Amino acid sequence: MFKFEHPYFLFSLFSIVILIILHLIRKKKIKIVYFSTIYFLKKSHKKISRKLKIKQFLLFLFRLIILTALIFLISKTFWIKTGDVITNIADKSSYIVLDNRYTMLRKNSDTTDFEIAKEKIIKFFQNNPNKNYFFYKDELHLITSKEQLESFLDKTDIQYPPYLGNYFNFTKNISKYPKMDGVFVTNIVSETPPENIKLHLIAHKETKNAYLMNLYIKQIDSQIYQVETDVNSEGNSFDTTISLIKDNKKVANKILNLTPNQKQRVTFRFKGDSGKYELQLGDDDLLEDNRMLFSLEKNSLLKIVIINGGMNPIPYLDESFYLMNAIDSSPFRHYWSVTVKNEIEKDIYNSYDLFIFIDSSFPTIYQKELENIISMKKPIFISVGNSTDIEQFNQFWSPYIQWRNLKDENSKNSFKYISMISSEHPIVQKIPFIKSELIEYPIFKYLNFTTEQNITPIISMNDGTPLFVEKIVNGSKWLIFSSTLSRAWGDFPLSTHFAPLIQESILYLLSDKLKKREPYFYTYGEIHKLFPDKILKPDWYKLPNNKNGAYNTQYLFSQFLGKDRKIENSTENTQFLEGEERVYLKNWLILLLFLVLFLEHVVDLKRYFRN
Amino acid sequence: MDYLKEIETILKRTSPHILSALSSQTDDFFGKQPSKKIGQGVEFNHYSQYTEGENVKNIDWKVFGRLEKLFIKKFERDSNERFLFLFDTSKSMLFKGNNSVYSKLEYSFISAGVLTYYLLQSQHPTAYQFSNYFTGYQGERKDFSFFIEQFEKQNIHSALNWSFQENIHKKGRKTVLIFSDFFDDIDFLVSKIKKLSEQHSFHFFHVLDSSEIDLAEKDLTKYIDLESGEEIITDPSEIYKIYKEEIETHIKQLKTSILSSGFHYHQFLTNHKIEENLTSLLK
Repeated sequence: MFKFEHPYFLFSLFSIVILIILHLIRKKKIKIVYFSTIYFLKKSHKKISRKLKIKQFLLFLFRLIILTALIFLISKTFWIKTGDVITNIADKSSYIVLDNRYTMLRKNSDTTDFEIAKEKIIKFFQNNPNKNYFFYKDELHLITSKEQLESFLDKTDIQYPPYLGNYFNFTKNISKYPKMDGVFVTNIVSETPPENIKLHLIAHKETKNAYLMNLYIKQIDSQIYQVETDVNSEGNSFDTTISLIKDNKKVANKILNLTPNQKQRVTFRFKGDSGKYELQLGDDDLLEDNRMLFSLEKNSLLKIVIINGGMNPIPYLDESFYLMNAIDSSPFRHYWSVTVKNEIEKDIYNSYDLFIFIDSSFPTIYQKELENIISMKKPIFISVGNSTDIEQFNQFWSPYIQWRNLKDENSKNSFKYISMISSEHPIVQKIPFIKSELIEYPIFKYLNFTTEQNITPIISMNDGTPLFVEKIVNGSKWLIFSSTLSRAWGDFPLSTHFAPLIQESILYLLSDKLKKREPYFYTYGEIHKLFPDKILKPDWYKLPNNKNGAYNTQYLFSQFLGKDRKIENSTENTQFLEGEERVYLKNWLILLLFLVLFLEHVVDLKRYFRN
Repeated sequence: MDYLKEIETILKRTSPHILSALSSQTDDFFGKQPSKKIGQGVEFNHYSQYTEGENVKNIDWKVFGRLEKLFIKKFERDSNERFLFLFDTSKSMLFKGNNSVYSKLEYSFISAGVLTYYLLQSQHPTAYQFSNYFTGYQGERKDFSFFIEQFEKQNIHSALNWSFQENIHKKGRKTVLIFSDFFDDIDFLVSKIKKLSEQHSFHFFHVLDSSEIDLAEKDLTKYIDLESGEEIITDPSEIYKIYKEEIETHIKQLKTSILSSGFHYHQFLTNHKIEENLTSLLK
């Protein structure tokens, strides 16, 4: 029985009725000629009147056939061929393709579609012995024996992604074998296959299929994460849901309206607590293609924030330039990330492990934030800056640190330089100081600490003035550098000693944290800028110093895919068929059309060639 | 239609030389060969010395034997030879194909008008017989306009009027020129005039439109008979071959019948120029 892909075009068949009516009432305009005598016309007409009637009838019939064939062609007429479809392949070389998508693991009784498909392929091979067969796995393999075929089938397993990829993409890949027939053994099809592919459906049903492709995880700020995925739909239009599941508990849900062959990006934003996450599509056929798994580890990074007291918050400029280059060039740089802030935001103290204050004369309105940091016992690194206002500085840091005055040495002869280094402090123990070199990098501006403070000098200058000191405040370690970390107050940042000093200082301040960390979590050179929403990218990007930066969030989902998948039986009432194939009448209809057009012209040929 | 103007146009298309040649040829054609016998149409008048270009047939070889000089016998035309034009004014003569300028009747009138002009120039008594009207013989040049006026006066009537036989019997030998499409029973016609052929000369001008031979239409056409009003719907593409065979057979039979009775047959196709038809006729 014929079926139609576009049955509504069949309404055009009414035009045939019109054609018949027109033919019967002969509304056709007939030319009238007044002739001298119709005696000879009548005589001639009488001789061929029977032939004329037949001709008229044939022409009418041909036009009916042409019109009907056209309507059937537009309606895409086909018929369903059932039975062992794949045995009807043309007598030439064929390649066999076994669908190894997860959907093939759907069970019918105790047997999966995948197992059924393998049996079918062997049966097909045995039933059609006089052909050349190729088995498609990544490329075509010539099959010469049943044993060889079984061996290939044994090696073929369900995998993600399947080596076929998407069925439709696969058909593009095999376009290099256009002259061969393909036997595609699958259990679900949502699109008409190319003409040189014979489908062997071992299970067929109304297709409502969607699957997930790609997963992008972005960290919006210290706590908020964004996850994106692409929902690809096949088959009919339908509504479904996509859920964000954390530790088997649904935390967010979205309703999707899917139309055939559509790609739709879905975004979830969530507070990034550690745990195992899953994106899952619901209510469709292929549950196993519908899951995307990923994981987040809490505090997977050591985070350093650089708080710039000056008005310029841009990293790698002014006071932060030498500091950040020192951090970047650290052999341990993968341990941390750096954020530059010109003000301390509320609610984020807990996410940072180390606070570096540069150019540190802050207005007292931030006093409360400072106290919060101190109350959390976070380590702090402080350096003064060239715009430091001594009064404002003392006011802000009071009562933890106090400076007496600003020393400004303009005479070259009285330049200070580092000469006294504490041999016991762990920061300087690993740094091979070369005193002769240190003289070349004088410090000509610095602040004097007040004597009453309980400070431990690590580095002092040649006149004994402490330059770099440690102070324990509320049980946490503070390191204080009493000159600038830029060349504004001295040349020390140009020294080869500078970067190791900064790096060792940070290691020292974070040493307690580092002991707890696993080397598994790593990233490097990552910068949280001021407007992270606008600049975060999941891809690699260039740092201002032209080095490659990388994203700090782990794409752990890739490690979960294919491991933790659970294959569930389809609970829907699936109709299993032995084999089904759509046979389109397109070619036959076109042939018929041309044949009838040709015949029509042959019958009416005299009209064209009379003269 | 302004027949005078049409005839004048055709006369102008020929040079004076051709006019005189046409005139003499017309004489040769319509009249019999010159004869020395008195009362046989052409009478001997005088001799004149032969000049180059003159017809050698008229050289008197006996005189040449005696005098060794070439002399031409000059004859005087028998002004008593009469010409009768007979016109078929039936409705079928009104047919005009798409490629023709004139209807068959118009074509016949103009052709006859041209011939009449030349005849009157030679002062031959000439008469027209229409279906219901006989003009009587007129032989003066001034009578030309009288004849032309008759064309314009004619209404369409039935077929040929056979009463012309009475007009033939009167007053000696006549040349009869019949213009018709001869779609009537030709055997009947021939049998009627056969007895007259010994004494008189008959010329049948078969006037046809080429569309009557090769059907011009291609698609389904309703043909209406101009005379009877009968209709037929047919496909010319289908029947044209058989039709052509039929019409050609008819023409052939007609021609055979006319010629075998000792008459002259001339086919005039209306899509040809009148002067071409006349010229070819006179040759």
